[in-house]
Amino acid sequence: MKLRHAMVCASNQNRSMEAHALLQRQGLNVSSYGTGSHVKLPGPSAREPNVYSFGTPYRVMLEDLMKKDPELYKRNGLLQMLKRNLGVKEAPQRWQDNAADGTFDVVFTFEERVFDTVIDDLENRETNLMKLALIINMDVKDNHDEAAIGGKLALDLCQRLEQADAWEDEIDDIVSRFEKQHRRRLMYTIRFY
Amino acid sequence: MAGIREQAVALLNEVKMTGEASAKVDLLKTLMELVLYRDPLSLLPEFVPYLMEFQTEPGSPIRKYLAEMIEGIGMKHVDFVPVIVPVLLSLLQDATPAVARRAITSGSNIFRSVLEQVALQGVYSGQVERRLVDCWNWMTCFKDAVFSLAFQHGNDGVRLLALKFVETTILLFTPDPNGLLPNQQSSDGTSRGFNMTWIAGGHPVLDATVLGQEASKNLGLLLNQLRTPEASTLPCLVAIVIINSLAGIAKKRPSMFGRILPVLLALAPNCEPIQGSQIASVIHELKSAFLNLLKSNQPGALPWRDRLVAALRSMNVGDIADQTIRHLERAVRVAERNRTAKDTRVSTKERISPFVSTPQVSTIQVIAPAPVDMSLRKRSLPQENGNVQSIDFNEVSGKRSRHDVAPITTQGEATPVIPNGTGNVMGNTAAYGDHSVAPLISAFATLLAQGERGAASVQILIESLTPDMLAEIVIANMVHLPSTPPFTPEVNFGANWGLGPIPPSGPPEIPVNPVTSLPIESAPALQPYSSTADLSQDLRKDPRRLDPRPAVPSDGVTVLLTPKLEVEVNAVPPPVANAQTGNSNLENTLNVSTNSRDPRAMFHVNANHRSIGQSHIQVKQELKQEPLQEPKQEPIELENRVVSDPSLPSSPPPQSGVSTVPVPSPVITLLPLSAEQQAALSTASLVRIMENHKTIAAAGGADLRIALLARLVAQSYEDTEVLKVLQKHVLADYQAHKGHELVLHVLYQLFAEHACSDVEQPMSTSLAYEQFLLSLAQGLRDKISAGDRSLSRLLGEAPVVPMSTLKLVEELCNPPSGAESSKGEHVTAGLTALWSLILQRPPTRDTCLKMALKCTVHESDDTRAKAIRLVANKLYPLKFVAQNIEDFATASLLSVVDHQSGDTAERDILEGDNTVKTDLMNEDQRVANGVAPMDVAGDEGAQQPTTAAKNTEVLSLSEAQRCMSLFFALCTKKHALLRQLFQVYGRSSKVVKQAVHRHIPILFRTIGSSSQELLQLIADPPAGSENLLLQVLHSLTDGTEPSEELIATVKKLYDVKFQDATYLIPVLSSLSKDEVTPIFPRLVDLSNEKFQAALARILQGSAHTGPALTPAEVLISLHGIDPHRDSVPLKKVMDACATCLQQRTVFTQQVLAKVLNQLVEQTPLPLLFMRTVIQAVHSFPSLESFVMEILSRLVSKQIWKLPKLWTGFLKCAHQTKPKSFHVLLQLPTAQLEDALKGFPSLKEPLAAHADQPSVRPTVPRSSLVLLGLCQDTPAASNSTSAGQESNTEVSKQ
Repeated sequence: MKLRHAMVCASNQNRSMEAHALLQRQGLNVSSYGTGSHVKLPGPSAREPNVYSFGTPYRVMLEDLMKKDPELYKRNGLLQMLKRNLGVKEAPQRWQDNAADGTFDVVFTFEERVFDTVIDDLENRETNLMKLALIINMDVKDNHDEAAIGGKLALDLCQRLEQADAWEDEIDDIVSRFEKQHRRRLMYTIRFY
Repeated sequence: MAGIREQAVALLNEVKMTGEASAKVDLLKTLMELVLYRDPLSLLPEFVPYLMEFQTEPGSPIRKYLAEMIEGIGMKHVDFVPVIVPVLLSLLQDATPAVARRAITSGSNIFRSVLEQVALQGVYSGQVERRLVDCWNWMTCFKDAVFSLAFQHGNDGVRLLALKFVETTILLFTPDPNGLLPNQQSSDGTSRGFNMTWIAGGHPVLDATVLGQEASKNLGLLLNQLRTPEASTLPCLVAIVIINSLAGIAKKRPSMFGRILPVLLALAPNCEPIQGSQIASVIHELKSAFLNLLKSNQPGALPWRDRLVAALRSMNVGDIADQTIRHLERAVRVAERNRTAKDTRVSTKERISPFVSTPQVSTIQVIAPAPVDMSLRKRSLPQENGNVQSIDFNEVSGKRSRHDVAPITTQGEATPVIPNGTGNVMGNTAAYGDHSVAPLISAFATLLAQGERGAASVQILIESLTPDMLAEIVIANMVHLPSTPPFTPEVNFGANWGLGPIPPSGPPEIPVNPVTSLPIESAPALQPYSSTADLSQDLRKDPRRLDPRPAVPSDGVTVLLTPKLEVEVNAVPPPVANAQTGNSNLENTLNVSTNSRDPRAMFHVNANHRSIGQSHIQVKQELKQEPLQEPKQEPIELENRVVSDPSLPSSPPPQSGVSTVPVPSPVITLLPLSAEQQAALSTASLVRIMENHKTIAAAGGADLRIALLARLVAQSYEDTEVLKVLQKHVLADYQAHKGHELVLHVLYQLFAEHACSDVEQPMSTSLAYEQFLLSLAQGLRDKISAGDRSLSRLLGEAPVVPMSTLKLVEELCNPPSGAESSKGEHVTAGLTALWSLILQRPPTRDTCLKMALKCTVHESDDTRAKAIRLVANKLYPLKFVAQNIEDFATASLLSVVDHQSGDTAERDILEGDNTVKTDLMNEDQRVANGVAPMDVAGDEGAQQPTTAAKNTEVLSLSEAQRCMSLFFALCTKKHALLRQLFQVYGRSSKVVKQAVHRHIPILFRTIGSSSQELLQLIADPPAGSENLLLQVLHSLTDGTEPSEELIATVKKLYDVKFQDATYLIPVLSSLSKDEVTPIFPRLVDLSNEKFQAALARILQGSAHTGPALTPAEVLISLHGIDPHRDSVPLKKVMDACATCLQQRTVFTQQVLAKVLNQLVEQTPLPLLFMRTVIQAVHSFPSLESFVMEILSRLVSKQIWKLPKLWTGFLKCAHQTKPKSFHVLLQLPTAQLEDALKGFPSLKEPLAAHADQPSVRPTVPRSSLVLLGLCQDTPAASNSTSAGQESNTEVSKQ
C-alpha cells in the first residue's frame, strides 16, 4: 500500500523539509509544502525577517544569506538548513497552489494554524473525486532541534499508516498507540478530494 | 482495428493465465487502455462481459481495479450501466474494504453522471429514453445499497465513503440556490453543475419532490447518527466525517441550516459519548464547522449567530468567534446604515409601523431568533395550512384573530372562490405543483411543531426555497383561506392589477390607469427592496407603501411608478401574510430569474396570485383587521379617509377607534396630492432608489439597476429635480456609485428620446440633455483631482457634446490668471478632455483642436507647457490633425517673425548687440539651471541702464517664446520643420533670434546629431542662418560626442561652402591630429576669442581618442605657420602664441621646455622662436638655466646669421643676465662686439664676469681684449679662430 504523503508547515523550510528529507530517505512517497503567504526566514532581528516568495529556489536564498551575513546565518543554522533543503528539492512550494500535484492520502501538518489552513483550503477546492485524505496535525516548535524530533515522529506515524492494510479502519488505533508511545497529542480529520 | 482486437484478446488471455495479482492489474490496465480508449465502440460490448468476470478473482487488487474499470466504462458509456452496476453492487459487499471503497467511489461518480443525463434529457426533450431510465433504476439500486452501508456498523473506511455519498445525494437532490441553468452547466464543483431546480418544473422520470423528501429523510438519518444514543457508538473518524458533511450541507443548502445546527450544537457540550480517544479531533472538527458556518453569509445563518458564538465560547475559541462576528456585524451595520441613512419623511414614518413593533424587528434582523409565543406556535400546529409567517408577526391580537378565523373556513369554501381567469392557471400549476408542495407544507408543519427552534427554521426555509416552489406553497394554501367577501371596501386595489382578472367581488369603480398595467416592465425596479427583503423588512415598509397609494390614480404616475408598484405587491394588510409573503417572494423570482426556468411564465403566475391574494385581503378586512390598524394609520391617510371620495359609491363611512366587531372596512379615498407633495414624494423615492445601490450591487443586479434607473430618470426629464437628485448622487462618489455608467445611460436615454421626439418640441429633451451634461461636467470639474479622467471619459462617451459643454472645457483649459496652482489640475483635465474629444469625436474635432492650439500659445507658462506637451506628443502624431497643427505652429512662428512694431524693432537695433551678447554667453547656463524667462529678464534688467525700455523688450521676448514654443516642440517630432526655422531666422528681429537661441540647446539636444533632415540643413543652410547654424552646431556638440555624419557634414560644409573655420570649431574635439593640422592655420586666422574656443576644443578632444593635439604639438604647429605660405598675418600667430602661453596650467614649463627643445632642432629655426623663448623665460623664470642651454646651442648654430632671431637672442641674453654671460662669452668676438654695441650696459658686468679667475682662461683673448681686460692687439686677428675654438669646446661639452 503506497500512500502519498504531504508534509506541511508554514514556510516549507524547517519542519516540513526535515520530515520530507527523512521520509524521502526512507523511500516513502512524500512532498512538502508551506501554507504561509511568503517564505519567511529569521533575519538579524525579529522585525527584519528575510522574506521570499514561494518558488524562490533554496539555492538563491542560500546565496542571498551568504551575501548578507554568513556568520550570523551559519550560527543560527539557516545555511545548513538551506543546504539540506536544496538537496531535497529545488524550491519551497505553497500548499494552496498544489492542485496540480494530485491528491494526497496523508497530509501531515506541524502546527494547528497550518492544519486549519489546509482544511479550509481543501473545503474550497470543489473537486469531487470521492477520495479520502487524512489530515494529521502534530504541534512542533519551529526550531531545528524540535524539527528533527518532529521529523522522526512524522516518519514513524507515516510508516505505521503505510503498514496498515487500510488506515481508514485503523486510524483511531494507530493514533492512540502513537500518542501513548510518544506522549504527543495528535489531531486529525478527514477530508474528501 | 482488427489488430487492436487481437491485441486485446491476447491481453485478456494473458491476464487469465497470469497468477500474480499485481501483474494482472498491470495487464488489465493495458487492456483497458485498448478497450476503453482505442476502440470502445466495437470492443466494449465484446469485452465488458469478460471483464466483469473478474469480480470473482481472488486477488483483491484485481477486484479493486475492476471497480476502477467500471467507473471508466460507466462514465463514458452509460449504456453499459445495466451490465456493470450489478457487479458494482456485489463489489460493495466485498470482504476487502478497499474494494468496497473503490466501488463506492466509482458508483458515486457514475450515479452523478447518470442523474445529470437523465435530468437533461427530460428537461430538454420532455421524455427520457427507456435505456436511460433503466440506468437510472440501477443507480437507484446502487444508492440504496450504499445507504445501507452508511448507516450500519461495518467497516469504518467503507462507511466514510458511504456517508460521503449520502452527503452527495442530499446535495444533488435539493435545489442549489446558487446553481446554474442547464445550459450554463460549466461545472459548479460539488454538483458538477447539476441543480435540482432544473427539474423543479416537472420531469418525466425524476420527481423533484420525491427526491427532496428523500434528501430530507437522509439528512434526518445523518442527524440521527449524531444524536445521543447513536452517537455513543460512533467511531471518531465517522463522527468527524458526519460533522463535516453536515456542515457542508448547511453551508451549501441554507434551507437545512435549521435542522442541522441544533444537532451540531447539541453535540458540542458533550462529545464524550463518541467512542475512542480522539475526542480532541472531533471537537476541533466541530469548532471549525461552527466557525465555517458563522462565516457563511447566508441570511439563514443570522438567527443562529448567538448560539454559534456561545458554543464556540464554550469551546474556548470565543475570541475568534467574536472577531468573526464583529466582522460580519460591521458589514451588516454598513448595509443597514446605507438603507436608513436618508431619513426622508417617508422613511421615518416607516419606523412607526403599525404592524410590527420596532424592537422585534431589530431582533429578527440583527441576531437572535425571534422570541415567539410558544402557545401561539402550538396552536398554529393543527391547522397545517402553512400559515408560516405567523411566527414572524408577533402582533398577538392580529394572530389570534386570524387563528380564530382560519379553522372555520379551512375547507370547503375554498375552491369556488377562484375566478375563472385564474382557475385555469391554478389548474396548470396544480398539475405539477400540488404533489411537490405537499411534502414541503408538511415540512413546515413539522418545523412548526418543533417550537422555537423550528420557528427560525421556517423563516430560513422560506428564504431559501426557490421562489416558484414557495409560490406554489402559497397558492396551495390559498384555498384554505376564507373567501367570498360580501362587498369590496378597497377598490383602489382593483386599479392596480393590470394583468390579473378583476375578482367578481371587487367592482372596478376606478378606471384602470394605463400606466399601472405595466408591472412586468417596471417590476425589476423593485429589486432594491425585494432582493434583501426578509420578511420583517417588508413589513416595516408596509405603511410607507400604503402611503403613496392615494397618489396612484392622480397625475404623478410616471414619477411614482416605483412606489406604486410596491403598493401593488406589498401593501397587503398583515392578516393575509401568506399572500404577502407569496408576493414578495414572487418578486424575488425576478432577482433570481437565473434560477427560474422561465421568468415570463413565472410572472403570469405571479400576476394571478396577486388577484387571489386580493380577494383574501378583502375578506380579512371585512372581518376585523382594518379597525385594528386604523388608529395607527398615518395622518395623510386619516385625512384622506375623512374626505370621502364620491367616486366610490360603495365605500363605507370612515371608521376610527378600535372595535372587535366586524365592520365595513374604511376606505382610503383618493385625493390628488399637491404638486409639491408629489414632487417631494417622487424625489424622496428616487433618493431611496439611488441609495440602495450597494445592496443591489451586492446582489449582482447593478447593471440592470443602472439601466432602469436611467430610464426612470430620463422619462421624467421635465422635472429638473429628478436630474438634480441623480446628479447629486452620482457626484457624491463618482467611482463607487458607478457614476459614469449611470450618467451615460441617462444621457443616451435622453438623447434617444430627443431623436425620437416629434418636430414640434424637439427642444425640451435636448435642452434637458444639454443642461444635465453641462451641470454634470461642472460638478466633475469642481471635484477634479490629479489623474482623474472621468470628465474626459464622460465627454468621450456621451452621445453628443453640445457647444455649451465644449465651452466649459475651454474655460477649464484657460483658467483666469491668478490662483494658478489650484487650477493646474483643471488645465490637465481640460486638455485631457480635449484630447479624448479630438480622438473620439470627429464632429467636434476642429473646434477642440482649435481650443487646444489656443492653449499652446497661452500666457501662462504652465498651461502652455501642458498644452504643448499634449499637442506635440499626443495629437501631432495623429495624421488627421497633424497638418492643422503644423499650419498653426508655422503661422504663429511667422506672426512673430514678421510682426515688427517699429518701436520694438528700433530698440532692438539700439540695444540688441549688448543684450544678445550677454544673452549668448549666459544662455546655456540659464537653460541648464532651469531659470524661467522672467528671471532672465530680471538679470538683464539689472545689467541694463534703461530698465523701462528693457521691460518692454523682455515682454516681447516672452511673447516671442510664447508663440514659438509649439513650433519648436513640433520640430522635435518632425525635423523637416527645422528648415522653416532656418529660413525665417535671417529676417527675424533680435528678440525673435534671442528666443530662438534660448530654445536651441534643448531643441537640438533632443533632435540629436543624427537626424537626416538636420544634416541636410547643415550641409546647405539657408542664407542668413549662419549664426543660427553655429548655435546649433555648438548645441549639438556641447557635452556630447557628435555623430560621424555630423562631423562629415560640417567638414563638407567647410570645404565646399564657407571656408570659414568657425564652423569647424564645434567638431574640432572629434577630429584627429591629421585632420586638425591642415586647418590649424585657418583657426589661428580667426579672431582671438574664436581661436581660444577652438584651442579649448582641440585640447579637450573627444572621450575616445583623447585630444587632437597635445599642448606641445599646438605650440609647434603654431611655430610651423608660415605667414606667407599660409596667409596668416604674423600678428595673429603671435597673438595665438601669447594666448597659449597665458594658459599656464596647460602650457606648463615642462611643455615649454619640450617645445623649445624640439624647435631649436628645426632648420630653419621658426620665425617666432626667440620670441617664444623670451616669453617662456618671462613666464617661468625657473626655465632660465634651460634657456641658457638653448642659447648656447643657438650660438653653436651661428644664430647671428639670422638677423631677426639674432636680435631676439641678444634681447633674451640681456634679459637673462647675469646667467647669460657665459653664453655671451662663447660668442665670437665680432658678434660679442655686436652684442655689446646693442646693449652697452652689458659690457661692465660681462667684463667683471670674464675677469673671474675661473672664467678668464676660457675666454678667447680677442674677447678679453674687447672687454678691455687685455691690451694685446695682434691677438685680434686670432680672435675668430679662438672663438671657433671655444665654440667647439662648448659644443663638445
